[in-house]
Amino acid sequence: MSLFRKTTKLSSKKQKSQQNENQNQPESVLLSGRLQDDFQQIKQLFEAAGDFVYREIEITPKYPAVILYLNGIINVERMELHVIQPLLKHEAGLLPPYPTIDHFKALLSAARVTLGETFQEAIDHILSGSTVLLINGFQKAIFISEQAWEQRSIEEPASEATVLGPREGFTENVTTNISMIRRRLKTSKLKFEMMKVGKLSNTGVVITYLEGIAEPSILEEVRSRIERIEIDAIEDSGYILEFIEDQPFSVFPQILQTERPDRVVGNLLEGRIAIIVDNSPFALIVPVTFFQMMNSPEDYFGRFIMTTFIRFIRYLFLIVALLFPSIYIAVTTFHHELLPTNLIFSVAASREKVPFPAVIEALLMEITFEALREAGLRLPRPIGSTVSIVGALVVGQAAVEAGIVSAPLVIVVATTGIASFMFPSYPLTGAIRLLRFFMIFLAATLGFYGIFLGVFFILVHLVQLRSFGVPYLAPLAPFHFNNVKDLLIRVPWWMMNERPQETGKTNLKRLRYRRRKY
Amino acid sequence: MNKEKIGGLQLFYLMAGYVLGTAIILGLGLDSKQDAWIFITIGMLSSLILMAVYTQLASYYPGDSLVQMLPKIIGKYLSYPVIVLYILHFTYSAARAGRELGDLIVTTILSETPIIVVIGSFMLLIIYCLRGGVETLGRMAEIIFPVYIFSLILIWVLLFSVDQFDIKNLTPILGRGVKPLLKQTFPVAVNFPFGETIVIMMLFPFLKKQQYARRIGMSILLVGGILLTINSIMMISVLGPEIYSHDIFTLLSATQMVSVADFLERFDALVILMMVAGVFFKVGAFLFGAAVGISQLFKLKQTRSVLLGLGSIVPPLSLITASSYVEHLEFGFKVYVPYVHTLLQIIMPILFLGIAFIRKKMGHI
Repeated sequence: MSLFRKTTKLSSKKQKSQQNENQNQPESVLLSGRLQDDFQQIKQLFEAAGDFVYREIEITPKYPAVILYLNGIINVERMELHVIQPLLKHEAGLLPPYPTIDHFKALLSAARVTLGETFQEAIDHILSGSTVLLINGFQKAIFISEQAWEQRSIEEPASEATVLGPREGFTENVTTNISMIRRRLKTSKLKFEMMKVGKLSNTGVVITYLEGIAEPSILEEVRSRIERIEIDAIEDSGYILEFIEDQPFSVFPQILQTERPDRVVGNLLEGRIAIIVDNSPFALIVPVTFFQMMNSPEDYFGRFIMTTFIRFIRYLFLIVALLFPSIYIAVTTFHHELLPTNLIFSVAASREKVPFPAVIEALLMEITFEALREAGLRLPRPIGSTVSIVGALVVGQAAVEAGIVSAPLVIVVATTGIASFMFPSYPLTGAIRLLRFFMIFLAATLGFYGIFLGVFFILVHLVQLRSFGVPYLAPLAPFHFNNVKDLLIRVPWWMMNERPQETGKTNLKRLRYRRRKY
Repeated sequence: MNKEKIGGLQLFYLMAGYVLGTAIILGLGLDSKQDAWIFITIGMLSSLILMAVYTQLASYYPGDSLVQMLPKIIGKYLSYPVIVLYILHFTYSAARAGRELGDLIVTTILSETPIIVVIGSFMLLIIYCLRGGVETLGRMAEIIFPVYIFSLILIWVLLFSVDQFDIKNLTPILGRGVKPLLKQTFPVAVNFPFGETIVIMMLFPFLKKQQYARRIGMSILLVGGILLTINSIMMISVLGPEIYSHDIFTLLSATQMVSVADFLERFDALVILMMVAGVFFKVGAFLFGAAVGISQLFKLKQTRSVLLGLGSIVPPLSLITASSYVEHLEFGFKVYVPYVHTLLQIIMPILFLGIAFIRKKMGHI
């Protein structure tokens, strides 16, 4: 009984809050039907907006009308052709003496025509690139959606280039992006839930998932986290990412950012959820695991034997990228005996002229390398390559000859640099780059023991991380044998008969395994 | 309260690593010389009985840790000193394991580093891990244990290449008769490291599938014991019984003898890694047991603040209890393991089981 009372109380509270909201929003007022009043009210809102265009026309002498739109985000030619012309030049018999709004709607030859009755709707439509038609005497407005704005054409994704597989990447236009996903999944189970985020920007955010495959609880979590965002404007999906991340203070990315529609589709099929944000070419994918960040979309297009080999190399160089400089420091400062005698002699000989301890030397080089990398990104493209040549070859060579750094260290730093370019996920690269300095510090103070401690620290952190409730090191810890098929080894497609345990629980079976007989 | 859970396999990894932990580096049954492996085997087999006692107690009071079941067995007031005794035991054992790690690191690879830095930084790691609760500990075990076993087996394989490797070092088997061996075996071999698994009674309430508790407990001892036995056979074969009985870090000494084709040599780093990993399990489980014990004793809602306190006690504790490593070992093998371990790990649990059994018969549970 008491429980019942509680729920009724709750619901009455909800109703009250809803009422309050309605009162607070003057725009949800209905259109009056008096053309001049409605028109003036909207015009007032857009008073100093230079791109606001209105045009008064007369459909028949009895029915004056106003067309309102924002210049630059609608297709003016199509609007002329499909809205203004049919209205002005309609044949006399088409309109009955006392036409309803639907009769006017029927006159228009545009493809997407809808009706609405509040100011809020009218304003939203104007802002999002529709043309609003107000006709005297009707409490409803007609919205004609003929959006068109300048946009980038579909290009090859710059941050995730592959040799095999599709070459198209997302653009800044959410409609184009959605169409790219839809083309790959021609099923009604593919859902796009639209939301608006940002009080001023009103940016469209689309939650994409496959019904019946995506975990409903995770989906609900995604929805509620996005709903809770309160910000004035969203400029890129990166904003959303920081708002909905599980642990914002971790260096590791817990959400996958991708420019590739094929990668999004692959993840949707594994029960994950994609978030597409208008004006951003990067879709967000949740929940993700560490190992997923280490997989390139190309892994799934090539032959599995080669892919498995490449993955081994990738994980090996993950260790190199993280630990190589610190191992070098540990060996040269603490554990000379770990190297074969000849090698340690040649390393010691090359370090003879160097005035700094190995740590300072390594930090110097690493920071220079990071600077070169950043400079290469910022400079205009033709100069960028020059800088890297000057930086890498000339400065590096000169530094070694001048005895500021030793030659083995240059090899170490260069290898590490190359290794850090190997990871398919750019944010993960950042995490590794940062942690490398942490490891250098530990190696310089505690040698190999420090390195082990550091690795343990990182592991403890990784083990605690979660991405939307899914453990970050998922198929490994907690261990799931079936998912290890797509971890270090990628089994051929005909053997990947199950979706990942963490995200695809609702619909585990992916394909029927059969032994191939041909 | 026990929202977090640990999987059966995770618990197995954790506790198997815990059994191997310091024991594999230190070498067991040093006084028994070439019969050390028999010493370990007997210790393992007899500790199975102990594990039966522990798991039987756990099954009498399902969902209760040792600290929670004690008041129900021996009454509220009598139980407090006993619980405090156990908490002190866990804390001190964690400190001992920390000291062993610290001394290994300082004597082998970081000769100029103060030992407190080594132990202190390690304790930071443990606190950071235990903050995440038993779940984190279990997952860490899941990641580390396979690497640990891989390193161990790699070292064994490499040991075959050592010139001095001679299986005949194991002879004469039982050269001095059974009696002196048995005298040495009880109670030391049972207590360390197998009896130390009493800490598993603090972990049972967190186990996902309680019905497998006994199976997991037994397999921990069996796997840990068999690995330790093989290890001691390898060590004795390589080092010979004399060196084996006098060496402080037998595994390290043996590994340092490896040299394949003048290139694959100096696998010290691997031993250090194993030591760090093993002590990680050991100190992690002990400190977790102590922290959970304290928070259950005082009915605290969380263990984090307790962990912080314990973590700051352990490093100094590990150092002040012995002025040198030899003294530390001496105290451990001559006093702590034979007497304190026997009391807390053998006599008291059996006593508790007896009382619990009678209570059960009388229908007081």
